[in-house]
Amino acid sequence: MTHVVKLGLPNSTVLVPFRRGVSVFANYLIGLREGLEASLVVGILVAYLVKTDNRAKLPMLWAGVAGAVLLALGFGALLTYGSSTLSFTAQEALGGFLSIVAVGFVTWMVFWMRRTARHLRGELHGKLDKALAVGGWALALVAFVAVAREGLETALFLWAAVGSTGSSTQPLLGAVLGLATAVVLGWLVYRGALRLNLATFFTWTGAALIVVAAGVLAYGVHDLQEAGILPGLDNLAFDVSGTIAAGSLVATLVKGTLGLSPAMTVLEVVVYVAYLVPVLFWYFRPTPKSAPAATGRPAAAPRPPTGSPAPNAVPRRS
Amino acid sequence: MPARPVLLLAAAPLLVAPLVGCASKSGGGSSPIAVQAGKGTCTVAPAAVKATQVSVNVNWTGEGPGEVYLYAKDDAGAFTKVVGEVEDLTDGLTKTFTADVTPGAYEIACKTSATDPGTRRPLQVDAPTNT
Repeated sequence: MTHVVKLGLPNSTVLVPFRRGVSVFANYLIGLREGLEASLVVGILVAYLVKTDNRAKLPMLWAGVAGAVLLALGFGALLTYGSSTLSFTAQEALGGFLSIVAVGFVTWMVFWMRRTARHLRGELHGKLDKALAVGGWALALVAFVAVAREGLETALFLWAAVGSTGSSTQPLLGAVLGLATAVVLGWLVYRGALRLNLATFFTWTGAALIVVAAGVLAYGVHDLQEAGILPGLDNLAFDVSGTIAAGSLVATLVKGTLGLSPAMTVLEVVVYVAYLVPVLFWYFRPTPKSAPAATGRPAAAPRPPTGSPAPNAVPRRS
Repeated sequence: MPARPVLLLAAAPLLVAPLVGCASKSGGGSSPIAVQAGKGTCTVAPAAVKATQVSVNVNWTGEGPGEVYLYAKDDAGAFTKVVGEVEDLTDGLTKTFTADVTPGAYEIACKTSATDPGTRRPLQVDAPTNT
């Protein structure tokens, strides 16, 4: 166990209540920020399963989420209380690598959902079940990666908050409340998404995931810059942290959803735009069969590399 | 659909990578350094150590959140190379990080954000003496 040298807090009876409130809020914002992105992604994934009548796949999804939470907490505890350490470079490189993998998974999933949406509009329900037989696994994996990505950083923060419960429960309380709020917001997104009609649902949740993914990618690039794997850590594209402080509510909400920070490097901005614009453009491009199928004829869709089952091969069930 | 094995293959490194990156805190060989940090304040004790690995224990007080970095000299002689850091420090929080060091001059920076130049204190590292 690391030898802890605790230095006393300066005492001021007037300031202490104020400081406690500020401290809880600061921890609350960190918990909120850490949980928001994963919560949004999981909320959308759950809505997708419910909307397509695949509640049976939900346990798999939750298993993915739970697995990531346990892994992050366990690994965080190991680093905090154990005799292992992760070098700074390794930690940042891992974060960056995880972020890029997460973006890959989410992008793949968004376009897979888009293909599936076309099948839905074609009323090939049998086909949908078959597609989701693999989709259940894939969704669980995406959920796992989305949670695990921020998981370690959050876990280290939580364990530090637990460690300071000897002197004050405020940090842990604030952090847990922040995470709980993130979960509630994810739940609200889920409820809101359910109310959309199917076509609108697929359009907007897909677009939302692409926007979130762009932020995740920029963040991953930042981590790799901190690790020294990518250059340009000090080459800022902009810095508005004088106006919007990094620890403020606005910055927290923007960071947790859009993935933008008050100060970003040139490389981060370039990567953000280079991902967001082409992918959104490609996502919204008209499909060969953009009108809902009145006749139910399968779409002559371009065959993606991962290879959906050929729509023409399956006889139509009426 | 070949997606499933591909996804699992892609995910496998996620589980392996943390284990590969792990190292052990050199049992008993880490030199502990206590940093008392806050907005505009930064005290480092001791300011000189003889070690190959340091364990920096950071306690943050006051308005947060804050971050504390251990900088080494880059090629130009400025302290810009991050060797270790802890972030998301709020009032009363204590976090520890470990870093491998070589003899030379280092800097501890107590910052309120990533772009804040921060309050900096020197840290001198010398080779450990063989007793």
